[in-house]
Amino acid sequence: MASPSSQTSPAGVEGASVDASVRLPGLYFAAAAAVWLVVGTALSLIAAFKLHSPAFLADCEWLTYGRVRGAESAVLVYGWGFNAAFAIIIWLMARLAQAEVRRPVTLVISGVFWNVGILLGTLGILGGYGTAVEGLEFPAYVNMILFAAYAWIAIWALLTFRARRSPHVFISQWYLVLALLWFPWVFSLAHLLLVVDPVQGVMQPLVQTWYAHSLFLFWFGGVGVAALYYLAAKLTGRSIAHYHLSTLGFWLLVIFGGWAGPARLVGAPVPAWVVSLGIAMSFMLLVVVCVWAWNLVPTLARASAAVRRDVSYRFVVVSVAALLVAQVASVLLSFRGVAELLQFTFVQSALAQLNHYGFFSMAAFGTLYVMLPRITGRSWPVPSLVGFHFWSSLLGCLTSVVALSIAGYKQGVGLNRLPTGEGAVPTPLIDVLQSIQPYLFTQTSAMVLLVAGHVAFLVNLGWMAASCCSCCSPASSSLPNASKAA
Amino acid sequence: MNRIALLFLGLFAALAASWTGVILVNQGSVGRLARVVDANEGVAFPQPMPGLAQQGHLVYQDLGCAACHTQQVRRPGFGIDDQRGWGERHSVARDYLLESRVLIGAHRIGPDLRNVGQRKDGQEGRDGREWHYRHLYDPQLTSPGSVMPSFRFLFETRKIVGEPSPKAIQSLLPASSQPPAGHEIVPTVRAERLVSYLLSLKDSYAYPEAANVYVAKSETQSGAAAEGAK
Repeated sequence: MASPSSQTSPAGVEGASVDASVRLPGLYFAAAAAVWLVVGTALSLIAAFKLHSPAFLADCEWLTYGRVRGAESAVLVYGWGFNAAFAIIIWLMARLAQAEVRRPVTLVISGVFWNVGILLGTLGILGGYGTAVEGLEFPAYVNMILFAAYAWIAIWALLTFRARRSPHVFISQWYLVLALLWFPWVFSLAHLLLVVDPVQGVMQPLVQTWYAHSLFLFWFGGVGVAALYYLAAKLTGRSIAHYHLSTLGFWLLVIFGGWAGPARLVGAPVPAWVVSLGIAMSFMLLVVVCVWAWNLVPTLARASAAVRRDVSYRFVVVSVAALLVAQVASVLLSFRGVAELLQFTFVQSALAQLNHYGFFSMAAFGTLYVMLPRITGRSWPVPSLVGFHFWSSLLGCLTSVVALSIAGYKQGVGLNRLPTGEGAVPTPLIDVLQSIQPYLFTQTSAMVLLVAGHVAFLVNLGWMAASCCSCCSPASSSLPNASKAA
Repeated sequence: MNRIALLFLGLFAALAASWTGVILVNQGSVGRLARVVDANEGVAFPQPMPGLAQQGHLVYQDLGCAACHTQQVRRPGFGIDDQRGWGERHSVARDYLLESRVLIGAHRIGPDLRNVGQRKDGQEGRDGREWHYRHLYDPQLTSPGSVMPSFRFLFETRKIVGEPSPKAIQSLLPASSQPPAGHEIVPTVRAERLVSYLLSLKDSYAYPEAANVYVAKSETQSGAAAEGAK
């Protein structure tokens, strides 16, 4: 049996049969995620273009900036992010529990409901029925569909966890259970308190930040960190360094993380104590960041030269770097002096990009590039597209984050600082925005790069799925191919 | 790491603690704020929005205006919102008491709109309505260089049948935006609602909690922008 810190399931026929049992739901959720990823980044590109060319598609009400921004956010979070997370959860849970997936069709049916919900919700936002609540943009009825679909997937995952064969619970499983349990709690409460029967006054932004922060820290953070721990051990073939500290990091995250959300509300008309507490808790999360770094960086650094050339390894390295930088940056941005300057600016967009794309999406790409060949028994049809996807994602993300950060800093200085000199008056807002136009152009270029990379990923994945499906028959669907790949 | 019961209990306890601390405790304080009755005026503040403005709030929400505009004036000394003339005072929790959906926003690609009704009062038209129509029809007319998109889909170009509409706005527009002969440009009902909502945005009542924190700036520091707003 593998050592606890190596987190790898036994090789051979058993692991291959687990992989083969994940084929249908894994491929379905990965394909749905890829489609939504292309749709979401296309919407991001439209929104980015509108920032410097406001006349672009201005006469189309469905594509006015505010709606495109809301739809883009919802599609990338619930369409790409959740579908990718479901694929990762199903595969990791089955692998780590060493349990084959039972009744995979029911997972796909839940997935169909989930994706129909996303489609209805996206059309709802573009049609003007969105809630305008960040993180909960979909019309109210869509949330019910999503919750029902989620419930079965989560119950399935927890049942698989319960049926695990290994007595040891790996750290990745801890993080997956955290994500699976935390999300329905915060989602249902936020839906009730913001959409169904909204709470009074500024309690709404308070609930909203509590939800949005939990969503990113515990759901995406949970699934993403679980994948990173698993892949770091799996790809390098080594145990996680300082594995005993991983539990400490987990519990500190759970204890402090839930309180850190209101740090985003610095200066807002909400009770000051809850914001101060949020800032203090954000600061405490630096300990968690240290634990992640202590576990993951040395493990990845011990990879052999051959492993370092693997695209999944590269995605994981980028994801870990983005995770660490994003967490430190979010702590810094919560400090009052920094927030005074950079709150409400594009720096916040850069941080969101680093968190959601740099960390989670890169971790998801890394996992899917390992997972899909194993569950389908096929290698990637066009290897050059894999490399193109990696480099376009990396360059696109880096360019976008840097351009938005510079734009945000200049925007913050222009918005929140008086020019020097006697009797100076605030710089007109239009002048501030004109001064950052070059950076917004650069961001649009970065989005073009991301869209191209995601189309390459979708084409490759679609090709792989088509070749897999065309060969799938009762006789050929099980062991041989999968075991060869594993 | 094999104590599953501990894992589940620990997660539940942490969830419950953050929920209690962040949401429940505040629900017991700011969640139960009440309106302030001004004994001199015999009126309770904040006052409810007029019906048309409430419908306009929905238009503001459905167009996603909060993606670019905040509705929270930060206190003096924390940024320069006051010196930009974005409000006579900073926003307080009580300002939002009667709003069905509180959209304080998180991005300032455009100006803060919390007191836009006050800022435009008296500009181009009795209450700034005409300024808003021009701004929504083509932001370049009122704010050259603005990155705000046009909202022409909130206006209707139609043939004049009988008397021209008193709501027609083409007289406010330049020659390049004039409709064909015999036609007029009128705001749709949604445009009227949205503008009514924007004009209703003004937090002028001095609540005790606002007075306690507010630090008046000298006229020199306040600058011309604040002067303009007054």
